[in-house]
Amino acid sequence: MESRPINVFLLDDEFPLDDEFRRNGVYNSAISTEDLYHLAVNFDWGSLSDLQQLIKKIVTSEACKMGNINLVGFSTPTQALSEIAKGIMFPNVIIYDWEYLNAPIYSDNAKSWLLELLKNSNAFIFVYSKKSEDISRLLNGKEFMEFSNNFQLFHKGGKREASFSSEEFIHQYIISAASRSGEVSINDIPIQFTQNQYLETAADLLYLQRILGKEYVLDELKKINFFIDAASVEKILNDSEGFILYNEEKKVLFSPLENFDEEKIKPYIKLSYLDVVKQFKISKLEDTLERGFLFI
Amino acid sequence: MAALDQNHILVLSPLINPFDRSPTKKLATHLLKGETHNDEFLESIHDGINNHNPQPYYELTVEELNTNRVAEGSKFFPKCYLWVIDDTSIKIILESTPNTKRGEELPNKPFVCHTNITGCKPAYIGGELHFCENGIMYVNFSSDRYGRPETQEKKQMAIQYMRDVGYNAVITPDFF
Repeated sequence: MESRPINVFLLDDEFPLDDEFRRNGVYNSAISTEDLYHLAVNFDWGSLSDLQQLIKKIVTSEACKMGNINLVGFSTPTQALSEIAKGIMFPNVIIYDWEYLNAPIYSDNAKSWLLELLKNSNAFIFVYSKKSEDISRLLNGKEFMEFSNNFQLFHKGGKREASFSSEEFIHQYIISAASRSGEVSINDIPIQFTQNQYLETAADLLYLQRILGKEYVLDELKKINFFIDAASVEKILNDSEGFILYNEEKKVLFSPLENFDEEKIKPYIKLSYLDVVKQFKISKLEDTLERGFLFI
Repeated sequence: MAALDQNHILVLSPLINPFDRSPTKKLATHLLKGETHNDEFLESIHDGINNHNPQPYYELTVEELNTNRVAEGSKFFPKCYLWVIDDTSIKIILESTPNTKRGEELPNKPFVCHTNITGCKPAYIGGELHFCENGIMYVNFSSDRYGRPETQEKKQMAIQYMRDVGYNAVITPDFF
């Protein structure tokens, strides 16, 4: 397994209060992986049970056991900003809770802290909120435009049919960032994922879902015993019997589902979905099907 | 300044719902959460009836135009704008405008789409466009929601309307 140690900052002001931890000042600075796990297994997290499960999954993952994930908790964003400013530890991933008791929704504080984190780190930030509907307008604003590839809003406990829940998506992102392989899950179904030449991260399974349909991919996952590697991706793509038209002279891919003028797209050859993914990328296959045609 | 007049409307009609012209997608099954609303983007949606340049305004360099084959019908995402002609005028938005709600469903595409311009309401026609430093606005009809017009006449009328508004618009080739 390739080693890619990453630091994951978890920012939340609602960590359960352990009296001993409080006496020892644990909440006043970076909370270690071990201490977070202690809180996750010994306390009731109430409405944050999804976050509790996420911590358990991360800490018990192979990648974390091998030292490739350093999960650190902070009770406030200012603690994390201070840690970054000191140059002691730089986050690769930040899970940013938007509901601070002293900074209600729409408060300038929560917004400015997030902007500071975006400006002062190269981390990918999951903005994690119970009220994601309310804050999306703020995050779509001009101030955040330059950082739009560096953060993602997720609803706490968010579920989507036959796809990653919010916590499942964050989990797979962290596992994929820290290791070439590991166990992820979709709708509580565990999937063993190994990075391959077709899918760089487990999130790329979403490409397969959009190309082939969610139900189809779930059915195929059953056939391959929920084990994703290069061979199983090839099987899934080949089983679909899907194909694309390719005009090599013009270097354009065409979806056969569109009503093109035959004369305009000739000469073309048929490429299977697998051939398209091999020669180009899975994102190109998805773009072709979405746009109808794609210049390569 | 120009709203659609009867000549434009006669050719561009009828108003269509999203995906009405798509051979594979349907409104009931293919719209995601985050693709149906426009209230969050009203400040970013430029109404071509008022003036010529949307904000932010990015022009392709001629080199970008050629390298990315925009004049042939391709796109250059960082400077690509989405456009729709609705029941009154042309509306334009930078495609890279963040849409975090859509990003929850499509993590690799946390940006606006054509139905974020219209709020999922009917429109006549839509596509993509690029402004270029050579003074030309390159227009295509790539939109699975409002594009793929049935006739060349409709394409020409959409371009004519853009010119009536004041844009130096030209059609890029397509394969339909």
